[in-house]
Amino acid sequence: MTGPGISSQTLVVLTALSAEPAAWRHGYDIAKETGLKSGTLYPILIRLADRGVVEACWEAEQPAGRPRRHLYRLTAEGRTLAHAAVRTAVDGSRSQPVRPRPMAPGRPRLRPEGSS
Amino acid sequence: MRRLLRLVPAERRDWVEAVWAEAGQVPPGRHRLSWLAGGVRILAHEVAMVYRLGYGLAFGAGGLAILWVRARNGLPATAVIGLIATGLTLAALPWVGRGAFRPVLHRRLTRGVRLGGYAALLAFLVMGFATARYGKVPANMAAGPADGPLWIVVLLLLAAYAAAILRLTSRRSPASAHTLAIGVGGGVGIGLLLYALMPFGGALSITAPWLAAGYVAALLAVPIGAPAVAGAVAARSRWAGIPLGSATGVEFPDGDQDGVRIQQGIVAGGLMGGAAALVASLVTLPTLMLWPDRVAAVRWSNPADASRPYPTPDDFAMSVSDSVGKYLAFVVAGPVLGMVLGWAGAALAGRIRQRRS
Repeated sequence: MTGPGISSQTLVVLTALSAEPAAWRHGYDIAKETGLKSGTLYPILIRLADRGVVEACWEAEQPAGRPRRHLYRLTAEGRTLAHAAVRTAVDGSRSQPVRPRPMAPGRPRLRPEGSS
Repeated sequence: MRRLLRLVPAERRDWVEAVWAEAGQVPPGRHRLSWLAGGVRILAHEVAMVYRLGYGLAFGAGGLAILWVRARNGLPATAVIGLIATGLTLAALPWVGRGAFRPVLHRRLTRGVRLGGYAALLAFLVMGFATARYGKVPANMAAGPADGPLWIVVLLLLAAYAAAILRLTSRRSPASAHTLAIGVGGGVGIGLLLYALMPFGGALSITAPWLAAGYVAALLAVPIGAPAVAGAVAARSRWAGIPLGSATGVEFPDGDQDGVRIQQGIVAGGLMGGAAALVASLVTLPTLMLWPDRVAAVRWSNPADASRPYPTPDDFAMSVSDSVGKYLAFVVAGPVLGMVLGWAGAALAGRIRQRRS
């Protein structure tokens, strides 16, 4: 789960969760902060929980006027991993300029029709 | 939705319910709809995971059904073995070649072509199995060639089609999105047009001379002209140089631009030939089985014989069997002929372009 195995979106979620590592956060709160949609955010949270990086629980008491929320925070292991991943990403972005994705080799580039 | 939720394993339900529980906090309108749509995606994904586990059971049930159909129709064992071997090959191919066939992400076109293409191949396979009963040799005739080698041809043919579909919709696809759309979309249309021209697997009997001449012209022009036109259009496309796997619209690296245009023409023609042959076969073969007495070859199989003035059921069965063989040859030759014609169309379009510039 470290280094190149972490997607940029997972990194964004880890960064959001590690801002207040002890606090329980709910999904919509994280979605607002990260700009991720539910269809992207929750699969990331599910994967992180499967790997023991995130722990989840339901709110203990039923609040008035809304359903109970599912809450998330980093585990102890998750905090270490998130810290390392964020630091690696920051170091990487400092040392490496952003490059376009390499394309398959041996394929010619086209010019617009009619140009020579 | 609650019923679907029951299909999700208990330890996963919390995640789907969490999305639902949060929906009330999301501002109503577009944002809430988008949030709920994400929940539906997660639910669908989790349900699909459960169903993947059920595929093994489904395959076992399918096998039993095949044996039951075989017992009822007295089909040869080779047909059952051929069907199972081909089905297994098609199912294993995406997994075996997962390095080369990794799909392009987030493109409806490639997903549609993969799904539709595989559905067509499986339907063709089932159709081949269903038509096996027409291949039985009548008791009063000498036995023909064994159908084991024929099933090997079917297996290799469908595996080649599946590999082509997977490769052309993969991240390393040699096709542009435009080429894929022209080839497959045009091929489906041409396949249906060929069916309209020959619904019973042979040329229609038309008495009016001018109408008959137009019909023959259409029979020749459609299968020859369409792949050539597809090749020319794909080669001249302004998007011809943008690979399918490019999410950013970045072109192929520098090199021979004429070569890429020719390549797109060949791919578009081949796709059109293959798609047209598959679609035409998939609609024609059930028609032959539903109305065997309308198959044109009946007249050939029952020459003027004073002792047999009317076609017998065996004559009908032989006619259908011959037509099935003809369509199998069509599925073999379609992509090859399409590639040659697509190349010709692309080359011609290139020459016209050069003369104009």
